[in-house]
Amino acid sequence: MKKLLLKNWRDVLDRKAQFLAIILLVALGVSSYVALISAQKDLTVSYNFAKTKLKLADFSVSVVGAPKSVAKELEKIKGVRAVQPRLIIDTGFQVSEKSQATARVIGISSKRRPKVNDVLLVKGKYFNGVASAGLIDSYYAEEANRKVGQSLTLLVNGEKKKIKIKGVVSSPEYLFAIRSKEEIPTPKEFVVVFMDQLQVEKLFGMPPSYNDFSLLIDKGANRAQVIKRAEDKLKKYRVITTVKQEDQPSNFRMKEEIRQNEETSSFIPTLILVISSISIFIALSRLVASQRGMIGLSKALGYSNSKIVIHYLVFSLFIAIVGAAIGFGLGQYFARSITELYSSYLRVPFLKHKIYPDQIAISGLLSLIACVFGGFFPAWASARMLPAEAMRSDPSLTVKKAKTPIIERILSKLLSFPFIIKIPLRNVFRVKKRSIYTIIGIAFALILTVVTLSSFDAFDYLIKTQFNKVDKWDLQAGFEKEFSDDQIKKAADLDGVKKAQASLIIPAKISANKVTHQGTITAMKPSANFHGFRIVKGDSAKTALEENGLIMTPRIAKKLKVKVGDKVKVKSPFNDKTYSIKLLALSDELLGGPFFTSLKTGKKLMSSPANIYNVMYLRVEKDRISEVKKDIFNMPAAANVIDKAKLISYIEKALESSLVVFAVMLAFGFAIAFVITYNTFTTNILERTREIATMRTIGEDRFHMALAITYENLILAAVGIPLGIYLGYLSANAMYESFSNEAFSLSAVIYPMTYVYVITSIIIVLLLSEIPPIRRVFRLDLAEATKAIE
Amino acid sequence: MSTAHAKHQTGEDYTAVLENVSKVYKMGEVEISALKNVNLKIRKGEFIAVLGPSGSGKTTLLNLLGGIDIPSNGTIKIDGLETTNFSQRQLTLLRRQKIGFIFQFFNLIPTLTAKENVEYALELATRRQLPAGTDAVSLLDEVGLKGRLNHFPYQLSGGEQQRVAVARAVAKNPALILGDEPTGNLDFRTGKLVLQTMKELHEHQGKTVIIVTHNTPIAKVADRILYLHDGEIAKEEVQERPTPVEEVAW
Repeated sequence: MKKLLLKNWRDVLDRKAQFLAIILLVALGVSSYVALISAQKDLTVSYNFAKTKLKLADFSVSVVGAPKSVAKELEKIKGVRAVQPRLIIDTGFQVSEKSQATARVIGISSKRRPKVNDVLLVKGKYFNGVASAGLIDSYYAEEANRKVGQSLTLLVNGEKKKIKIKGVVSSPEYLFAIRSKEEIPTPKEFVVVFMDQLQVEKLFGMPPSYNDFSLLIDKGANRAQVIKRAEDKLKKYRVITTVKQEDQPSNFRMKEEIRQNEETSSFIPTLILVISSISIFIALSRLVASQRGMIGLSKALGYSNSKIVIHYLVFSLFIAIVGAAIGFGLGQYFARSITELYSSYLRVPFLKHKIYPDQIAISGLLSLIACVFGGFFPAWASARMLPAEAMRSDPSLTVKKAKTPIIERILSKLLSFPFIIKIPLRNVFRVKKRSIYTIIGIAFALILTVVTLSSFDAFDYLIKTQFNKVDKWDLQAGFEKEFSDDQIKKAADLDGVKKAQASLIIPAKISANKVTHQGTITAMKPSANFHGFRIVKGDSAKTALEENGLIMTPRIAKKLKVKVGDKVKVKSPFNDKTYSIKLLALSDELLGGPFFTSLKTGKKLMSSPANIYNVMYLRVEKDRISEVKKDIFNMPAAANVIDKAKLISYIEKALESSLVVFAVMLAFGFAIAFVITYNTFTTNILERTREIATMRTIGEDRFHMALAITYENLILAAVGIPLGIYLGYLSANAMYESFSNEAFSLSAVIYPMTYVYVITSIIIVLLLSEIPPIRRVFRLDLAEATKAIE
Repeated sequence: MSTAHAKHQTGEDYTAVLENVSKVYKMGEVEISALKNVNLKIRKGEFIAVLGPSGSGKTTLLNLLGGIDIPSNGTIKIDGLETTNFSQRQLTLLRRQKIGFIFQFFNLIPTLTAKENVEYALELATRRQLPAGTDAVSLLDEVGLKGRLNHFPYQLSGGEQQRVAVARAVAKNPALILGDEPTGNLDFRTGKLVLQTMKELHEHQGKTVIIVTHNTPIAKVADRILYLHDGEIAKEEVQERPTPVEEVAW
């Protein structure tokens, strides 16, 4: 057996480049598995730890205003572990002299840390009742480079109020600094300020009251029951909305990120390991075929079938072990980088990175399964050879079967093929298994590149569609209190405002078929055109609104199990009555709230006889945007203003930060394509050494030989590329479908130029990968090779 | 080929001239002299057999004549062209236009039919698309394979494959046809058939043929026999009356 092991080693050295390529492929598969899964686990563990440590509320109830004593009442509910009453108010703040943005001011006790939704002090000190002092969230502090000791100017009912920054904190509620699930984070445009409750009341001139109650429940307690009892106790203070932990905006988005990463983290490694397995099959089949004489001799000398099988399986084991070892090392390195990348992007405190022993076991096992599976059949074939037959070293016995492929027979009626095309074309059909493997490999590589590059297109399409065709406004302003038609008129009269419209966004519970969705409904006049609908079924948006019906997204319709024409129940906290509204149209909304109805219905839900609104949409002259924004913040109860241009730039910046991940995915795709074609063509040339040497001997020149190899490559690519693009499109579609949620919808859009990039880059990779095999052809010893046994 | 100048330097009567040709192979740190100072002149239309035991340098001599190897020392002239210092590209052109190869293991292109294998050689010689009604059919007819034109190599017997190889070798009207043990892998009957074909081509078309063999009776069909031993031409034997193929027995 020692002798056979020595032969194993020498064979590896003899074909080191081919073995190295396969080892690299296995290492890529293992490292991507280890890196992505470990990073995924790190992220989940870190986030769950942060949630527990900082006591993220199991649910929160927002009310119009309730006394502190209610908290004591809530604590008495069976199953409630802790209650934290808070006062939360959205207002404006000065980003700079000329620019304003939104601040969420949260009043908490300055004497003791919150019992629920605690904060982690990152810098500075926890406040102690000092007037006009507060803590700001770390997301904003980092993005806007705000430091402890500096001040923040709040805009309260048109007045500037300076707050000293005493500390920077990380809050489990605002790791994603957003106020609703639909919102896109705009880091410099939103700050969370934690202040002493009394100071907040004083600042906003409010009576002592709380509008938010965050609760933690005991383990094993019936959450639905606890929520119901808490809502009952808060009923008289008018419950606006109850947000469960899974619907808490930051937590929802964080969970979505983790879920999406989980889905992609198993996709790439599986793809690579399947390719590795096929690569081993192809390479070892070739090795066994070329060593048939030696196998025959070994058997004639008395080596048993099992020893021969083991001998060839040792190659698989060698590849598996070395590939897994390299892959695991690289994977750990990448895992740490990816975890750091994730946590800096997602701002997860308490970053935890560790080695997972089960990962070592699983990655080793996966690598072993892929390699042994790929190597088993060639090894088995070696043992089945009869010694006498295997030892016949007559090359003339190995004349390969060939025939004219149907495609050539058909096309040759129209055009005549030169031999330089005929030979590669027939080769493709002659060794079907290898050709199929190459086609699959190219297709797999394409899947990775298409999916990666299509994400740029999908986001570009999303941005262009949403901000050019859907959101037909330049500034969107949210108000803490409802306003009337007069305020719209005032806004329309502001210098630089071309058009002003408004909507009423109402928190509501929408139910049908025993499914309830808690969210918001946008109520608007049928004539309003600040929002461009993308109706996919039912009436036009105008008709649906005129008829006081409901418009919703297909995704939500599916969730509620309703179709156009069905009725859904709508209940708002501002009206005790539950309304039955007909679903009249489905609109494919990419971003934002999924429900729309008429202002008339909205008024009913708000129990308001007069026209009221809480969101304003303005068309503004470009050079007047910052002035208008300032004017809006000076309006009473102005809470936030979204500048569309800035929003777009934030999204684009966020996409830029994902470029590293995309680049890694592209590198994987190209590496796969390279290794596969390199492996195929090396095998191809080894298998056809005598044929190629003969062609060279009878006068074929190097250029035409290289051209023949290239044509063969291109013929395979001509099949692999469309297949890969189609599968890539399907994969992208499936991926975006899984990424989409009720607040966010991505479509698999691939622009024609992306196809051009993908095809060009894959062809370049294929051409590069054939350089080593072509060099091998050029270096052939013709005298030897024309007598070679293949 | 830019060696027209060289053509004037050699006599037109010789297809190949070797002067003091040596070939040394390096195997690790050991040097092996495969050919030692070989001097040889091959006249046009000659049929030469090279005889000798294994390792005597027969194949090396053939490789050097065919331009698939280069000498360590000495000069080689093929059809008036000095090929000693030819570049790889020039050697390719030489093989393409001047040399016809017949291999022991037939070496047909497995993906091409009998007719296409011959046409490929023709196309290589002219490097352009062949016109309809090419010579391949008549060439295969000459070697008795008209009925097997569209058969792939795997559908042909060994003898048939070698006859296709002969047709391929002569297709481009080469100056020199080289056969390395052309009957070595055939049974007696088919071997004789192939030998007969080669002999007829030599006699009817005046082709210069050199075959390497270790089989003395086969060598007897040649006009001249070169006995190689230890890299040197140990003996030359001009045969006034070569043995007719039908009388050869081995």
